[in-house]
Amino acid sequence: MKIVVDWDLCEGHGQCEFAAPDVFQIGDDGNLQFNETPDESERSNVEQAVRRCPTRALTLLED
Amino acid sequence: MTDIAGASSVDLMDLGPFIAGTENELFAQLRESDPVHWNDEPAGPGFWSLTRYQDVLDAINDPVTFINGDGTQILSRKVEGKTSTVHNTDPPRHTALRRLVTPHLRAVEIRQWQTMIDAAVEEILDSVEGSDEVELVNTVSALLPIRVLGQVLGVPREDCPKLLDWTNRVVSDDPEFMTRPDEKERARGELFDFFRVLTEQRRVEPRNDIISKLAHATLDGEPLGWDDLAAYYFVLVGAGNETTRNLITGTILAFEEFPDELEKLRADHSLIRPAIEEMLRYVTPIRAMRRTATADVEIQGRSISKGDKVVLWFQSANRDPRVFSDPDVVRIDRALNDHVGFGWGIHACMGSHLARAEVTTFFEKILERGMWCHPSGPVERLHTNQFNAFKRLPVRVEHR
Ligand code: HEM
Ligand code: SF4
Repeated sequence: MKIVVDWDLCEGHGQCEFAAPDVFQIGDDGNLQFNETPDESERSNVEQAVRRCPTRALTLLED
Repeated sequence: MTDIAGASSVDLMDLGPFIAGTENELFAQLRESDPVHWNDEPAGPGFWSLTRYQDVLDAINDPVTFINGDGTQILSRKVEGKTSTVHNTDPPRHTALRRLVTPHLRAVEIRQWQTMIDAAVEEILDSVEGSDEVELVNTVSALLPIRVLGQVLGVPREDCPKLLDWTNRVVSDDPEFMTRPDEKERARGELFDFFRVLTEQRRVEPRNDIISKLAHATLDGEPLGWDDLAAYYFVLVGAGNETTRNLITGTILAFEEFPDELEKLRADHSLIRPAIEEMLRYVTPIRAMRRTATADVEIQGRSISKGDKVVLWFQSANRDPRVFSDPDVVRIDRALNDHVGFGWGIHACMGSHLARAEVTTFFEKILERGMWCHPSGPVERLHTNQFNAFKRLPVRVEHR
């Protein structure tokens, strides 16, 4: 599983952080930081983050 | 439009079921037999109602076809003044306005307010601890969001009660607050004057609050004009108060309906987070928001015309059995809770992290103290179909 962010779309809402706090974090500079290749155990949280992102900035790729 | 095949005669402008608390039966009926329902309006063009989860989500994810710019209240009116708020606006203006405030309401930003939120909750609980009976809405639920939002915005503490009074008068249509026909106008005028003074102060002496951020914000390279500023204050005060307080009151009511779930929570406080998400689903403080179609579209075989009003019923979507098993049951540990209690898409709630922090802290602390509030008399609901809102709820304060 690999996460891709479209930086033109991401507005730093942090809805992803709420769904998967161990994968996504909004840093002190307001920008999104995330683990591109999270552990399989995070899958359902990450999927929820993808669905929740208000700007559709996140995509989940299978490897 | 009244002779649509298969259309039902359900009238969602009839406030009766909403006041009695029986509206979910109507939504169940609509979801099954008339999911895209035409509703006549006594003094308006009428509107479509989307009641299935997927239809609501599809519409909300298509902000080009379903716009906010022609109003988001079910009734065709605007309450915010001369310009449109971030809520009643579409891209690109929406995106630009939204960017001015979202950075200050992100989860990491809210963390710096946690001590203040803790203190506000403790103070409210101190004031009821030891009492036997209190009226929950006005002594507890309504106080927390106004104090917290007041501080985040930068409103002096002693002025917070005024904020509360203005929201009651501007936002609701309830006759209790509408003592004169021009009440809304007057309340809005007072609110705007108040914020104008604060804005001038913060221009000179900025602090760490949203008024200071907005007072120095620019839109298209120009400082934000007064009308835009006023609209922003208006939407933040309106959206941040009512909703949060109703989630608190609604949660107390819901746990009374499902006492086993309360026991589950008492035994394991780590369930508070999913429990609040479940309450956002079950209570749905904002029942519905409206959009306007910009093109002819077909949904579930119904033809929606360009210019028609389309109401997205979050409450009904949140009870759709296609998505939520046993939707009428509270399950605080519900997995995969993709509720639309905060909306969804580009207009999804900007205050969701703040609201969650407030409500989570409140329930954490009341449980830590071994306290609870049990409804001890009938709840009085606000007379509106768009918000799940409570005016009064007598409660017995339990101390374990
Ligand atoms: C439990 C509490 C809350 C609930 C249930 C709630 C619910 C919602 C919903 C459903 C929407 C979407 C409206 C739509 O799609 O038309 C929304 C938007 C909004 N909310 Fe909240 N809200 C809450 C608390 C707050 C707070 C505390 C604030 C302010 C700090 C806030 C500020 C806003 C704003 C500014 C918008 C408009 C965003 C936009 O149009 O882009 N809300 N809220
Ligand atoms: S929810 Fe979407 S827009 Fe918000 S920070 Fe995450 S990726 Fe960016």
